[in-house]
Amino acid sequence: MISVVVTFLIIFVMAVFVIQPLFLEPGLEIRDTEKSSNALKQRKKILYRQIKELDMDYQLGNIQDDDYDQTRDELKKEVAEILTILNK
Amino acid sequence: MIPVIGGLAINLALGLAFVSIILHFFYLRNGDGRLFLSGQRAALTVSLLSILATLILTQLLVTSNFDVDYVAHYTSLETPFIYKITALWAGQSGSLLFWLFTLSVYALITIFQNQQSQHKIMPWVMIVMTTVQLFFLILINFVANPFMPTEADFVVANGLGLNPLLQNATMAIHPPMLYLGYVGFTVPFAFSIAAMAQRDMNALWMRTVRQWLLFVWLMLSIGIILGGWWAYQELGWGGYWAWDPVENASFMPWLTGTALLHSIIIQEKKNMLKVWNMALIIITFTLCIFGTFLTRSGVMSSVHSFTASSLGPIFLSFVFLIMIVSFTLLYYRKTFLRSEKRIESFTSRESGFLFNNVVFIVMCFAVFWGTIFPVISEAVRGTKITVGAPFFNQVNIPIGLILLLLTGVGPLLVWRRTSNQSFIRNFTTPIVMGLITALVFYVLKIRGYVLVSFSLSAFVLTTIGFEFFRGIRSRMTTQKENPFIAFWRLIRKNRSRYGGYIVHVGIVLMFIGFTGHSFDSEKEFGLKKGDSEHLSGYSFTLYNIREEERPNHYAYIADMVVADASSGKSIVKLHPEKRIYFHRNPNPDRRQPHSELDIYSTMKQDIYSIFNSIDLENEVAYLKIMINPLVNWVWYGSYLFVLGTLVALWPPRKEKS
Repeated sequence: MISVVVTFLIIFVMAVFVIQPLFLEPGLEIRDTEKSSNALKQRKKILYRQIKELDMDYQLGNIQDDDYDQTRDELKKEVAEILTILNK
Repeated sequence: MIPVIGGLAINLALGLAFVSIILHFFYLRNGDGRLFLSGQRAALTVSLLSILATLILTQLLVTSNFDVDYVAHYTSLETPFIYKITALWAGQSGSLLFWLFTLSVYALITIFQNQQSQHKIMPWVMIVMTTVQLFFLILINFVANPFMPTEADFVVANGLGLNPLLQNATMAIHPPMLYLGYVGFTVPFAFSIAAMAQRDMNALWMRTVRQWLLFVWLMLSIGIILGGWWAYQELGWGGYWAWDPVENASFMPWLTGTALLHSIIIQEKKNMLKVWNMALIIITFTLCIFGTFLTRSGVMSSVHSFTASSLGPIFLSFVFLIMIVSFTLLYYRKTFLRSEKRIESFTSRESGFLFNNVVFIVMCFAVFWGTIFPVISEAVRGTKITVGAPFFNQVNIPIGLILLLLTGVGPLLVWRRTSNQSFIRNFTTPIVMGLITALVFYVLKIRGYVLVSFSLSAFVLTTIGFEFFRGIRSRMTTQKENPFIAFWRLIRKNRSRYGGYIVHVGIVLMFIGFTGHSFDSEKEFGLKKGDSEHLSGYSFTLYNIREEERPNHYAYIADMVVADASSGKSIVKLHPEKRIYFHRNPNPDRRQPHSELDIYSTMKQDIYSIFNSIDLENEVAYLKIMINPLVNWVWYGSYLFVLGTLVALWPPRKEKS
């Protein structure tokens, strides 16, 4: 008898938990509550890290002057583009 | 009552997994957020029910509820508490439930980590993860149910007990680690399928996938290392890797996972190799399921595999399904994934990474071929042609040495292209060190792969040492730091790079350890009390044979003293044991003999003693002694390997904006 009650109780609680959102108002839209700019911020972080690593490679003599300048410019340009979007 | 709730939990989880997948699909079709919320709650419940079922089975094992067939098969009243818990993954159905449990924990983490982000791809992530859960739920519900009652028309007073080989502390950790790795690859796989399906692969996706990859790869690595450690400590054949099919099954996804960890750096930095990386993720995950198939199906004979079962065809079908669906999706998304950039030079770091990837894949294919060849030969010609360690060693040693070489070359290459000037400056010292080492070993009359391995090890260690030296010197100059502070901050501020270098040092040490295997020696003999034998400059004298009864076994112990053969100076006392498990069982066939080793380890070599058998009448102990040089280097290399990965994985301090 107890096992039947426990079984039904588990099923009932579970069913309510799963079905409950279906009784919310229609037209519920799911959006990222974190700022939508998060992906851009993450990309910006990666770019900053790449610039730091590039500077380090340059200091260590692992990269030539022209390559260093060109790559750094490219990275800075992408960072600038991201900053422009983020500041809008 | 409790087993019934366990059974009910997996029944309900099965149903809800279907519901969750359907709700997510409907959400993707009409965008009604209520369906997404409901689908996610269903997925959450599937995981919670699976975890509940696992906890229930653990409780049944711990309380020795022999009404459940699984409990009666894998534990007994004498089984120590800790091994009652580890019995959870000792048998077929329990280990499948444990797979599901691990995946469920990962699913919960994934849901909670992304509650406020990545909603565009999350429905697909949940669909993929729940589908994998569904597959295991089908197996557990219909093929290998761990809650099946014991089929006996009498009260089962005691169980059969756990295999003595599994009653080892390492064995308590090794399988969970492997599972954490194996199962964990589901998460990056799910994120990759989701990214392709939704054509959304941003920097957040990249961060998520990289972190998960590194974590699960570390877990798989630890699992493999612990497996080797267990084999060495417990199996008594003196080695740690036998190219056993199930060992290979864990090694293959490790190889492709390692390739992926390298190539994903190119994707993050250069936005290149996206198709390749997707293919690697698919292959790695497929190999994880394939590995589970190898262990469960019984098609391979292995010390690890469970008995032959009907699971094989089901697993194989799932493997094919994953490959067909994933590669079809990859094909349709090739334009989305195509990179605008190309590798500019053969002597660039990008090329180095790509070449390293190719070598990893070649090695993986060689292991794969050697592993499945016996099955193919049996299917085609009717006879099983066994592929043993000699084949794997012959093929993989040269490939491994190429990888070792690349471990040294990679860090010295520069992004885009390495100039001749940099090339000469970076490579001269390491090459000279490698050549000097080669010369020294040549003079010592050491040739072949051993010479190449030691020389390459010297080359790689020099390149890494050189990198650290230059980094420290640079900080000392620019930041005015002392060498110790410079060393510490160099690592702290460049965790990914220098963590990687520490991993590489660990790998070199491991290679040195592997190479030591070429100098192994061994001898088998019988000794009476007071008798001695000699091997490799050591004398082994048996001074006593003891007997001891312990809770779950009876032990014969050979007390031996190891001394320097020339000076007679005592070095160590060894006490290998011959144990009889289930010794109180009235049926002699149920008693299981087992050799418990005793090992004396130094950095130079291991003295490995095995008590093979005993002649009680004449009081003769039959022993086997092995001298295994440099084995400790493998374990110390492993520690560094893990340490380096942890350094790379450690999150950076939040930067001030």
